[in-house]
Formats: sequence, structure tokens, C-alpha cells
Amino acid sequence: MIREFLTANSPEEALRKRIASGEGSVFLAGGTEINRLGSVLCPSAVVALQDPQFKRIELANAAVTIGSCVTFQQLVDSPLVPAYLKDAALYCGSRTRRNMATIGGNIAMQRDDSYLMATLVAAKARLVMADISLEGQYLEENIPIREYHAFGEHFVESLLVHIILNKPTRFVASQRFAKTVQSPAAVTVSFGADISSGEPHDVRICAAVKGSGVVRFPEIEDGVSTGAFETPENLIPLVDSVLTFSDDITGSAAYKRYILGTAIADLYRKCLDSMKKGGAA
Amino acid sequence: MIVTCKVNGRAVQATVEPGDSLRTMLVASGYFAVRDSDDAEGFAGSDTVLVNDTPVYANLMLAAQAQGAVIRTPEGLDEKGRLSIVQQALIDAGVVQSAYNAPAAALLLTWLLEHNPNPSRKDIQDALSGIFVRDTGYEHYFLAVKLACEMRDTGSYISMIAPEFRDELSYVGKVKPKVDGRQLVAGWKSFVEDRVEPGACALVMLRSPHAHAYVTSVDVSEAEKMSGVVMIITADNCPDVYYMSAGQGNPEPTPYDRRLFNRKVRHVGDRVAAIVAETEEQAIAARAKIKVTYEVLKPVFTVEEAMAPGAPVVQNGVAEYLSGAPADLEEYNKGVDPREGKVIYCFPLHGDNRHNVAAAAHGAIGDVEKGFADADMVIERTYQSSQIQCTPLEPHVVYTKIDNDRLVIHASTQVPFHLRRITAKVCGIEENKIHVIKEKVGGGYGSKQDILIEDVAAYATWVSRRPIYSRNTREEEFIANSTRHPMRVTVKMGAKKDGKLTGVYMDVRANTGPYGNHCLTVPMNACSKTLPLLNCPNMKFDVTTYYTNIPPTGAYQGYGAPKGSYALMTCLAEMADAIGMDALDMARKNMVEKGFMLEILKSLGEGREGTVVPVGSCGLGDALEQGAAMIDWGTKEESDDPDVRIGKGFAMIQQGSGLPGLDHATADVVLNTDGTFMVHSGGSDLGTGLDTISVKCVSEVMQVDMHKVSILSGDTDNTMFDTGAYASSGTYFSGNATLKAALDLKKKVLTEAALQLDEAVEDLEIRYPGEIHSKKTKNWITYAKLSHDALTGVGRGQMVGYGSFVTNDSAIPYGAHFAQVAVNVRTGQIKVQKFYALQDAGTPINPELALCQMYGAALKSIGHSMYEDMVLDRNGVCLTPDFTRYGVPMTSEIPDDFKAVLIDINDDYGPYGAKSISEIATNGAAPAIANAIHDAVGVWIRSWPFTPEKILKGLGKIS
Repeated sequence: MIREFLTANSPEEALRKRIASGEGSVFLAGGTEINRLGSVLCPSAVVALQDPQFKRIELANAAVTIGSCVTFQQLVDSPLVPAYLKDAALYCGSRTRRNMATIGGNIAMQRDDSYLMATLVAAKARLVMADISLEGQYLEENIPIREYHAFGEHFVESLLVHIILNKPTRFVASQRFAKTVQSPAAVTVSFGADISSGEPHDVRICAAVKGSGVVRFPEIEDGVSTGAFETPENLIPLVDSVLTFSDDITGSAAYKRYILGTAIADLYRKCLDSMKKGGAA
Repeated sequence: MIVTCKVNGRAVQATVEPGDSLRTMLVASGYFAVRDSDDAEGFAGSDTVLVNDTPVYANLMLAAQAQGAVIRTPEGLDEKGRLSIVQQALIDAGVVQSAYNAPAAALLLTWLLEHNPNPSRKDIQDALSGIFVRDTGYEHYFLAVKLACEMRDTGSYISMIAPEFRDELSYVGKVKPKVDGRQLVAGWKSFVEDRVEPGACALVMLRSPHAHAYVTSVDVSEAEKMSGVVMIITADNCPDVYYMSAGQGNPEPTPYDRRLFNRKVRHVGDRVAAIVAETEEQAIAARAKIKVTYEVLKPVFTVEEAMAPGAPVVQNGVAEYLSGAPADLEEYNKGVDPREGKVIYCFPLHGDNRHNVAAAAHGAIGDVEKGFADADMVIERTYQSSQIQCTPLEPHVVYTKIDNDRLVIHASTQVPFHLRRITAKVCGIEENKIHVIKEKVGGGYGSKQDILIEDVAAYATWVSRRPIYSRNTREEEFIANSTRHPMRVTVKMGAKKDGKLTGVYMDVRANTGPYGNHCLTVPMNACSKTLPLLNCPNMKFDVTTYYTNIPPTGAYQGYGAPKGSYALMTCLAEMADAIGMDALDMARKNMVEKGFMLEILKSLGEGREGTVVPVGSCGLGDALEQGAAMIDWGTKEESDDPDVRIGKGFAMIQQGSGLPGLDHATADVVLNTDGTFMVHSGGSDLGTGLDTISVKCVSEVMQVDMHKVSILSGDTDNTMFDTGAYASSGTYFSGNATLKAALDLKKKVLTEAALQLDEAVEDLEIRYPGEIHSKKTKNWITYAKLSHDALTGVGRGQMVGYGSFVTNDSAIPYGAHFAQVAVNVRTGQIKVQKFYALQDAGTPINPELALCQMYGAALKSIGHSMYEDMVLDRNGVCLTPDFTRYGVPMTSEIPDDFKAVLIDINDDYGPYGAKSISEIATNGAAPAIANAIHDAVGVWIRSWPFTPEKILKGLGKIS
């Protein structure tokens, strides 16, 4: 039960207030996770992020900087946000929820049916994380999202301030598979690659798989980058080597395995088609 | 902490706790139209408000976050009772029915039009994407926006709202505002929750974590000492009264197999104890202190498990019969564990509780074996339906109190009179001690035909004399409410090469779950509302219903028909495929037509012999032909996507209009002293427009505007008996009762006028706008003067018309539903591109409401067929106890092209030729879509839901 409601007008203030309020306090962005029925979070205190920078989307030096409290609907509405991220934001089918749910909150939760995480990894997003050092100093660090994904436990005390998207010519596309638009997804998968050289390289493939978590597929990424697959379908058997699938309400393990492999192959093909057309998505 | 903000332009200062939601603050500040239907799931949208001009879920926002905000709630839309254009358009479009979310939808659409004056269909779909609408689907919301724009821009509506019927009538068959539309769309006090008074106690339930167990002890000693606790009811102190929850005609075709609390729990979520305390928090805290020990038993969850030799027995109690007891009953009851309780049958239902059989029925016409022998092709297929939740937006809710030393029950119910009877039995009191007031029902769909929480609350109030409010959580709605019975239906069908059916056999195995409410009638409906569609001389059915340990089942719109229809109509299409015939030609060859004697009905009565009647008014043929033309039947569509295949399917459907020979409705119509009218109808309007039907009948008979007629319905003190709103009885039974009452009043009015005018009755006529006119002398008198003079102390008293309606005549609605689907053979994904629902409702008295009910029911059944599924784990725990995981259809799931069409057929027996409309519309989607999927990709899907995974399995892509 929330017993304390605090507000912060800067990242530093937010971090210091959270530390002061002790264990059980969390940052409050949109609230769709913290306040919802069945949430895994049960904070005793919340620190509401009120600094306007948390809610801005800006373009500078060919990079789009997105505040962590930017809502899904802001992503959809902003002309600065790449289409692939708008697509991912629209996976949240409820407009009303999109008005509340934030990009930062979605990243922080790293849910196994995350709307955005796979796409942001595929896009090679970078995250600006803020911390208070052991010496009490306020610090900001710009890290690749893959680091956040791989070592999430290192960042539980940190505050996500910004998400940065660069490489605007990068191909990024995703697919989501769920019973209804608003049902939890069995699989949300995204494929990203730098196609500036005429061959896909710097590939990132990431999927949120219900029951398995948010996972990357390094072997397939390498295979695509090195042109190891004669056809996209050839990568499908490798899906199994990366993770274990489970049966649940979104589908059987066999279904998830099939659909994930098929979707990655489809996205790879789309990437190849996109290159043939000379564009990025 | 103190939050200061502006709500609907008014400064509000509220003291809140840091964890309070914005909704909590708003409701406490008097904005009760900000409702809650999902317990803060952030799904259904009843809690939608605008914060700083942005729609949000008030349950998901902390009140503290609203500091300094500008907030708008639905209460701000009307101006002192003058509705906004959007609110009025919603009423006029027909979407304000059960209306629990109507105020929120009005708010969202108002916001949309403020930001986008001419929104596209996609824009509207997006704006409403956070609102769950179960009753009317979403289709007429698009129309409502169009109407609102037209009214805003031109001062009037340009678009047609709905077709109108019967030129000779003024109100019936015409688009007229629903009589309770204003109240509902504006969010004025309407529902049970709005009647709760300060100081009411809260009742919460302690539920079983086990699917099957004896309750060996319940220690409430610590809980009883907790602050605020008023009483705790368990199996140890509840009345030793066996009853059942189904609100059905008495004597019920259902066993009495439960007490308020039993010594054995039979499903996860079964009742163990009720805790009444002065606040909900206190009740919940006390609940945590109750110590229960269980002797856990092995559960059974499926029909196959329940029928297996040596299966655990769910209801192993003493069998008793109020009539027709078998001779070997004493032997049958030997050695029964007293903790099992009793299973009491009012009359034999062919049950065998010792083998998990709750009820059974069998019947036939002709010789089905000979039919199969004569056939050129015989096929046998089995179809499985899943457990489906009704999901009314307003959960089960009740407020009970003592007034005038009587028990008053404010209920959200479909059956106020059955509710009174059953609670009287449970409380051990007579019916005159109970007053049931049916409030507006925020969604019923059959689930509120069962007495699921009223029994406990009523008993607790009667014993404690305290006012008590009880409301199911959404999870309780899933695990402790009535649901669609899962059924395994095997159809064996024989046909000649020319497509003529020679024999049809249906074997229905239904899963009733832990209790037997509706255990005979729902499964029988799988046959009785499907087999009579076919002109086949040899038909046979066997129905067996099994007890298991799944969450309870019961009534759900369509009753057993959607499952039977899925099986029979899909099998018919499979037969057509097997003999190489077009499915539509096969349907034409085997469908019934007007005048065909429905011999099969003889064996399909509900616990007794049924009445054989001929097919009466029948729009089946017209529905088939119009639907086929609309969907361009016979033309194969191609997709641009090489992975996508397109297919078409259809299904013939029928239902009933109430239960002739069983149902009874009563009404009276009073002529007030000023010439206006008051209708008292026992009928229960669930938001479907039954009150509007009654008012229209009176307006039509008495030739007065509808605003001159008011209605009170479903109130056991103030209206007369009506069996209730189920089995599609409302229009036919309650409507006919009001019509009879109006005609009776007309007769009395003419008689009185003849006396007052000194004219002969036969020379008088009634004419608009409310007067009696002499065709002979041209003399006339207004209703006001007539009534006034009859009540002056020397007159003959108040004129009251009385109507009681019973019948053996059937008014069967027919129809056909067509679907076009696109199936991706690579991913298995299915998209319903087109869905056309064509139905014969006789004379649709409220055509715009009828269309919306067709859309709502069709979308529901699309949901049941494709998405919705209550999934249990191996211990019987429901894994889908909320909207998100369960998977109801929202705006994203509506077909691209969705049309409801009313086939114009006048019925001989319905009021002004009307028949029922809504239940039948749940019967078509499953077979139509299944058949379309086969047409697209060659895969027969024989179980619900039709998932991509099943398609992929059918295509051999996964095993």
C-alpha cells in the first residue's frame, strides 16, 4: 500500500527522495503498472517524476531523445518518433492506456509481454541512466539498451532519464502475436539491422516471449550479419537453441517456438526487401 | 494529504490518502458516474475521466497526481438535465442499453469531437479502444458519432438510424428514444451501488483454494473478535436449507444441491464463509484471520474425467425426490458421507449423482438408424465448446436492508420474483416479508438469472438486521459466477447424394461444474433450438450433464443453443463438403418452412412432454437468400497477400420467445388523474428496452405520446408476477402482458366514457393525442377529464387495465449469419473481414435497439468462438480471472464489414407481431466462422476457441 507520495522536479531530486524514503519506494511514471490490479509492484512510497524533461521528445544531432515519462500516445503522435517505435507503441491497443503508460515504465518492467522492449533493443536504443554514487554525487551514464537488458539487476536503483534513438537509416520492424489486440502477447519480436552498406549488419533480434522473458538471439544475429543463411527460413531451427518455451494461456510451447521462428524469418525477409527497395523502415 | 483540482469546472478540495486512486477521490466527492468494472485493471474503461484534456483511467491514477489538474467526468456533460448532442445521439443510435459504460463512452466521444470534429471510423475505433462494451457491440457507436455531427452541423439527423416497420402504427416498429436512456447515458443514479446508504456493512466471502475438498474445520474465533465484525456465516451456522441458484420456473428442472455454505467445497472459489463487518477493510482483515482445514479430494474437470469408471464423485450426497422417487432410493443412499449433503430433485431428471450425472434426457422422432441405413453418406463428428464468462460490466451486486420489519433487496437481477422466492426459502420466511427492487442492470446476459450473492446478503441482513452491501470482485465473477457450460457434442448425420438428410443424431455431454443449476435445460437447448431447423424425418438426441469441479456454469445468452448450433451447423457443412455439394444448397434442401410440423418438439420439453407446433412466421429462407447475396456466396475472393486465404461460411439459426406453457407475465396500466398513464410491469428490463416496449404498447393502444406513459417494473411490492427476463421472454411474454393490460384499460376507458358522454361504447373511438371521440355525435372527452370525473367521489373509481399472459403458442425467431474470414496460412491468424447477421424478429418494436442487440450478441459470439476461454490449471485454479487474460473482443476485434439486417416478418402471436431478437444472435458466429475457415484453408476447427495455433495444427505446421 502506498503510504507516501513524493514529487520530484529533477532526476537528482527524484533519486535523493527515493533513497530517503527507503526500501519499497519506486519512481512513478504513468502509473499503469503500479496502480493496476495484479501488479507485481507493491510500493510503500512513490516518487512522481514531474520534471518537464521527462516528458519531452527532442531531435538533436540526428538523434531523437525521448524522456522516460513520455507516454505511448505521445510516441504515436510525435513526428520525431520513428515509425517502428510508433508501431510498437500501438501494440498497446487501448488509447486510454496509451495516454498513461510511459516508455520508461515499459522498459523498467521488462515484462515478458513487453510492448516496446524488443523494438528498442532492435533499434539499438541508448539509455541515459541517473544515479547517486556511493559518495553522494549525482551521475548520468549513457548506456546501450542491450547492457540494460543483459544486466538489469545492476540498474534497479537507477533512474531512467532518457531514451536515445540514433541511426535513423537503420531497418527496424516488429511483429506481435496475441489472442486479441489487448491480450498478453505470446511473442513480440523485433528485427533491426544497419543496411547502409547494402548488406544487413550490426543486427539485433530481440523478442519478448511469454513465460521466457525478453531475449536476444546472438547466433541468429551473427548468422544474418555474416550472410550465413541461404534463405530466411534457415534461421528458424536456431530459435530453439536460445531459450526454453513453456505452455501458458497465450499458447503452447510448440506454437511460440513456431511463431517466433517464422516471424524472425519474415522480418529478415522484409529487411532484405527493404534493402532491395533502397530504404529503411 | 489535500488535493486541490477542478472537476467539471468546479473547484474541489479533497482529503485523500497517498495511495488513493483518483476514482476513489472522485466518487467520494460525489462523482459516482465514474464507475468501476474491472477492479483497476485498466481495461474496461468505466472509470474513464479526462485529466487536463486527456482520457485516463481514474483507477490507475493516484488522486495525489491530480493536484492542480482540470478534470472532467461524465457528470459534466449534461446541463441541468439537458443532454449534450453526443449523449442524445448515443440514445438515438440505440447503444444506451445496459449502459454501465455509456457515460464514459459519452465522455470519450465528446472529447473526440472536440479534438477532431469529423472523425473517421478508425478515429472513433481508436477513441473507444479503452472501453469495453458487451451489450451492443460497437457498430452503432460509429452511427452515434455521425448523428452527433449531423445534429451539430445541421440541427437535425440526416442518416437513417434503423429501418422502421408497420406504417399503420405510430410507436411500435419506430425509432424512438429509449425511456430510460437519459438517466443511463447521463450517469444519474441508476444502479444498485447508487442505492447504498451511509452506514451499510460490507460482506466479503472467504473462498476455497481447492477444487474438491471436505471442509474439516472453520475456526472463526479470532476473526469474530476483530474490530467492526458483525457476523460470520459458515456451514456451521447457516440454515440447513437445500436450494439452487437458478431463477427458473417452480418446480425447477434443477436439483437442489447446495446450502448457503456446504461441508464440502466443489470448486476453487466455492464459498467457505461470509464475513460481514462495518467496513470492507474490516471484513477483509477478519477474513484473513479465519482458519480453515480441508481434507483435499481428487477433482474432476472434464466430462471425460467425470464419466470415467471410478471417477471421484462431486455430488455424492443423499438423493431425495419431491415427486417420482425411484423404488431403489433407500439402497441408492446407503453409506453416504453426511458431509456430502443432499441432492434433491423436484421431479426425476434422470440424474445419477453417484456417477456424476446431474441430469439426462433422451428423445427421437422417426427411426434414426434406418435413416443412417438409407443414407449414401454418414459422417460422425465431435465438437467441443469451452467455458465462457458472461462478463457483465456491472458485477453481481446487492444491497439488503430492513425496512418496516421487512427485508428489502436492491438487486441487479433478471428474476426479481424468483429471487424473492429463493431468498424467502433460504431465510425461512414468507414472501410477503421480502421486497425485491430490481435496479437498472448493468449487464446480465443470463448470469443474473442466478441468485449468486443475494442469498447470503439477504440472510445476513435478516439475521443481523443490518444493511449490507455485497459486490463481487471481477475475479469472483470469473470463478464464482455462472458461465457457459463446456459441451462435447457429437453429431452423426446421414444424407443422400442429393443432399437430403436421412438421419441426424446429437449426443450432448455437458459439464455443469459443481452444482446443477440449469443442468437439464441448458444442454437440452443445444438440441431444442437447433434440430427444429431441419426438415428431417429421423432425428434422435441424448443429453447427459455431468458434475465436475470447474467453476460454476449456468445461464448465458443463447443458453445451450450456441453450442448445439456450432455442432449441428458445422456438421451440416461437413456433410455438404463430404458429398460435394454447396453448403447453401444443402441448407435450402433441409431447412424447415412455414407450416412444417415440429414433431421433434414433443420430446424437447423442459422436464415434461413438449408441445408440437407448426413453424409459424419464419424468415429463415429470406435470411439465407439475402445473406448469400450480400456476401456474394459462391464467389471465391483472393487476397493480395500470398499467405492469406479467404473463405466464406454461414449458419442457419433459431431460438425461442420465452417458454410457452411455462412462462407467465403480468402487468397493469393505470390511468392517472391527469390523463397520463402508469404501467406496472412484472417484467425485468435488463437495459434491452423492455420498458420501452411496454410504454410503446400503451402509447399505441391509447394513442398518446410516449412521454405521457411512465413505467415501474421488476418490483415485487409494486408490480405483479412475471417469471423474469430469460429465455428471450421479455418482448413476447412481458410485452404481451402489457399489451393485454392496455387493451383491457382501453375497454374500460371506453365503457367509462360511454357512461360519462351518454353514448354507446360501439360509437366511441380512441384518438390521438389522448381522448375519446364519438363517431356518431362528434362529442369527445379527454382522458384527463374522464379520469378526473371518475375519481371525484361520485364516480366509478380509477381505471386500471390488467393483463396476464400465458400461452402455448410459439413465436420462433429465425435467421442466418454469414462470415467471411481471411486466414494467414503462415501464422494461423484469422481475421473476420465480414459478418452479416440477418434475423427475423417479427415486428421489431424497437428497431434501433434490436439492431444493437444483434451486433452485441454477434460480437459476443465471435469472441466466444475465437478469443474467450476460461483456462484452469491442473488444480482447477482459473488462469484467466480478468478481462485482459480472458480475452474479450474490443473495438480492434470488430469485423471490417459488420451488418445487422432485420428480416421483415409479422408474427401471429407476438405483441404487434414481435418476436425475440437478442439471444438468437449468439448462435451463428461459431459455425459460420468455422465453415468460413474451412472454405479458406480446408481445416475444420472442431473446438472453441478458433486460435491460430489450431489452424497451424490443422495445416500440419505444428504438432
